[in-house]
Amino acid sequence: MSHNTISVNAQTPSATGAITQALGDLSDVSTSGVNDGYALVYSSGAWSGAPNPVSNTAIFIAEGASQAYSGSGASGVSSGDIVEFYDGNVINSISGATITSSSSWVSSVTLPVGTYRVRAHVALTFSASDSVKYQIYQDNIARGGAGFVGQDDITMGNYASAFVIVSSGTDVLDVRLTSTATNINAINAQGTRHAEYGYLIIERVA
Amino acid sequence: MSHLTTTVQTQTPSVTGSVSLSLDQLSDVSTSASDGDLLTSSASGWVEATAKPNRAGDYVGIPTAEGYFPTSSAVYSQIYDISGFYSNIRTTTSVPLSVITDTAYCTNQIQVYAQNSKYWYAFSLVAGYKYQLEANLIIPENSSSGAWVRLQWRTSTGTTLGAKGYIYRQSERKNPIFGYVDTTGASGATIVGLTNLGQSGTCGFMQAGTDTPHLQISARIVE
Repeated sequence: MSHNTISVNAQTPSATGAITQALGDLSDVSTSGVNDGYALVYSSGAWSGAPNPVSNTAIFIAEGASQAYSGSGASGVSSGDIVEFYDGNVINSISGATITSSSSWVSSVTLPVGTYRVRAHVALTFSASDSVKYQIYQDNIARGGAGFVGQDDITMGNYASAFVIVSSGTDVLDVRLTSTATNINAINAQGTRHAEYGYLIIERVA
Repeated sequence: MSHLTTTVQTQTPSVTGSVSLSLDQLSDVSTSASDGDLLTSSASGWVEATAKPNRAGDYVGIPTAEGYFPTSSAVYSQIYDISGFYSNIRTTTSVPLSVITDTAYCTNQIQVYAQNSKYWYAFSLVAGYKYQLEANLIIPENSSSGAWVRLQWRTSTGTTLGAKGYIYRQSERKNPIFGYVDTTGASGATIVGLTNLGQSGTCGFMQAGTDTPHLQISARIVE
């Protein structure tokens, strides 16, 4: 005599006949790899755990502290050099995002899948009248509109902005100078203006 | 002879052998959700969570030139600031003072000098959220050329909330000034505004209808 073996979504009864069902046991749900705060998101006929699409999270790097740029790990102030941002208490509420920094100077941000609005403001200094442009980079590719900074304080404020889409895995975001200025101060003579007025703000919008 | 009774999440099959389960009967789901809630992962399993609004507070300027200064002086000075906050942001209590402000999360703090002389100086933010603050401001065009005021978002107790920034006349430059405040550990409302860190030149009091529409300040919940 044979018996049917009862199972529900591949779960078989215990010795007492009880079958346990968790969310991920359902035929159209996958909860593998979820982190706290993830949501159940529907896609192509199935539900899976993913960063909460309606969670309005952000990364905020802008302490406003008086810190000399000479303390940063920046390699230079020429076109192509990465600009670093000071913040001793970086706010990172984007699940899965990581901050690369040393001595509170942030050189890059690694972002998970999502759509982001990014704004960056650079306040490097000059010894005489001059200016440089800068732009937001995603995995070494320039994105969005350029920013501009010159010698006088009144020339600060033309920030760089971009919408960035990370479609798979993670992408590295940084800010780079896109022009070279004769009169830009060397790193050890930059002073504190950039730490006081510079910012890098990333808002997750989808 | 006894038989085992098969159960699924303590539900026994009906006489026809069917078992009906609802979402919160699953072993790792615990919900008492309200309309609009989401199912999110937590350390204790899947639970409901409330979708937070994108924007909590918003102030915009008014396109009118009527009204009075809070003083006989036509020149702004830090001595006129209210509760230590920069107070040269003229408003009215009629539309469009706060077209988006959700008073469940944020209320504008307004100093009223006269019916048509009212100045915004702070947001009062309810506890339990993290807010991104943004100010897009100018000083009046009748200020002296090159005049500026240097501002920074701070709480009423002086905690700094972001980078410093300059504001100038509309014909010169308009810079956003950002702040970020975490009220998740606060026991009551947190008052946040802009602190005057210094100024240069002659800065007029905000009054003219061509200036006030350039003013916009917001608080956005980011977690």
